[in-house]
Amino acid sequence: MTNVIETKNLTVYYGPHRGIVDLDLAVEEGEVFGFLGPNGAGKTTTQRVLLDIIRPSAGKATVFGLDCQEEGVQIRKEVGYLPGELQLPEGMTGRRFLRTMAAIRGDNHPAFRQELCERLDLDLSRKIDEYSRGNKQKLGLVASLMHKPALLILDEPTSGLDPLVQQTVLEMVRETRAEGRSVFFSSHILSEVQAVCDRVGIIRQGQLVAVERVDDLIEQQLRRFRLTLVETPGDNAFNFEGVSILDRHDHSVTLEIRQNLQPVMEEAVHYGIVDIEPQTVTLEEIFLAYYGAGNGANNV
Amino acid sequence: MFNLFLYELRKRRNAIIGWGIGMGLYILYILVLYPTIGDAYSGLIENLGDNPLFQMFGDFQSMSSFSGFFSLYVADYLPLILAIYAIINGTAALAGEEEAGTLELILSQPLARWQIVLAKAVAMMVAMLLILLVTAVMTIITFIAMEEQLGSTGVTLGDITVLILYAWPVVMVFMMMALFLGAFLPHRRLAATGVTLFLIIAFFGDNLAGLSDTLARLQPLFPFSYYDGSQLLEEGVPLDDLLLLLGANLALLLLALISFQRRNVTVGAWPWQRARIP
Repeated sequence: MTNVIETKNLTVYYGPHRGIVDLDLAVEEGEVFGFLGPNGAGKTTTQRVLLDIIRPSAGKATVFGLDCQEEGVQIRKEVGYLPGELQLPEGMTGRRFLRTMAAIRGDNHPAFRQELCERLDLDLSRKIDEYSRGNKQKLGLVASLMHKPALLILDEPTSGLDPLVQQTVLEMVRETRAEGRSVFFSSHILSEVQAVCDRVGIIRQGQLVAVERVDDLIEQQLRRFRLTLVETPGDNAFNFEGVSILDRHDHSVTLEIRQNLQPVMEEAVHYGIVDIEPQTVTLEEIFLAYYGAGNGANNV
Repeated sequence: MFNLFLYELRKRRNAIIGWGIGMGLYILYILVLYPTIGDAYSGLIENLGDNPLFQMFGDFQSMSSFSGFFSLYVADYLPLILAIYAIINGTAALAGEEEAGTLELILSQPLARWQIVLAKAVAMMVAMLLILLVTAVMTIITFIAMEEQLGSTGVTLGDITVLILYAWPVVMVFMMMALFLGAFLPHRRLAATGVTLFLIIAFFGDNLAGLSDTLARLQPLFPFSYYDGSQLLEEGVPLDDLLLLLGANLALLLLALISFQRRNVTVGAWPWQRARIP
């Protein structure tokens, strides 16, 4: 599969301060790639390099196989971008803003633009100055989606939106993928990443610490079971590396397992298994496991 | 790029009307004052005309005639006042929008950076020209309405138009400098401070050049020295000075283009900080 985004040893420093370090990233065509990390991890910096807003200190970034610095105009023709710190020009109506952005871009999808506004219940007749935070976010979303870009770069797209509209936005992201287009979805809200992303990259202190399929991450890396046993397990039962006992009640025990299941199952068989009840592990919990205590997880 | 230019021009619509009318009212005020205080000025000039403190604020020796009075208040003060708008607008175009966060949206559009700078610069140029045109139209209307009170002035409507429009290349120097420094320096306030300092030095430096050899040597650097109202009314547009001012504007625009091309937008750093990996 072709990569729509590819970075190699991408490094950005702001004077002496770290932005991103040796970032190697590949986003495949037609996927929704979740880019996860706490505030200040380097998510926004990465996006800005892809759009040639910030220039890298070292390394290389390409989008659609084109160099981000050398062929930025060509790239941006096919990219829709919603900044995380969205700021809109004031003194004009939402309609005027969208028309202006469409004219600058040379967009020819007025009907689709109107459809997006209707789905997001956005009143375009009001001045941007009078918009609430949520309405400004909707306007930014329409501006990023209205030209049906081959690649959508969304930074915290549901920020400031009410839960119903959040669901609509996530639905729009799914539709984008269904049309074979790609989405680079930056967020620190893990539940929505889990809801729409195919793969997720976790960035920590400017470095990519993991890239996994969301399903694999959930299935393979962290499991939680509630075991109901015939005999009451001893105090030292299930005392293995990578296994945590979350809860214990007479004949039942809830375990969190980050390792091979085999020793746990062998021990369980020893006490006689009545029932095994798998419990849902959220991506957030997996994420916290990656980060560990005191490594920035508090910012999430 | 043309659509960005239209957008930038539309953003300045209120400023064009407001500043144009404001400057027109300023000249109206001067013309209304002239019949009343013209003679009083002549007496004042006899006593204070060569006083350096008096000369700091312009060539008041020339005020014994209407053309001298009119050209001083237009050629000395119109560009000075408009330079304030030029600095505000010039630093807002790139540095201001960068700090406000709105530039990020423009940069994510399929436009090269030079196109963004050029569209903004041309919009600013046209806006300033329109401000001066509004001013000129208001002045001409005032002039016609006050023809009887002013008496024989020896100044034609064409002279008035040329005198006012010639402020354009002078004021544009401050605007292009503000645009350039906004693209070069880390923060808008630094750019605004830099151009404002230059404006103050250029204004007083030009008026006091006759009193100091040092200032006389520096005078060619002051844009106001190329805008002599009396000379303009008597001899017409000095083409060499006009070309020099246009050249300075072009050079500053080129510097703005180069600086913005290299700029790490949203970072607020000096240009040379980008490549450093500690």
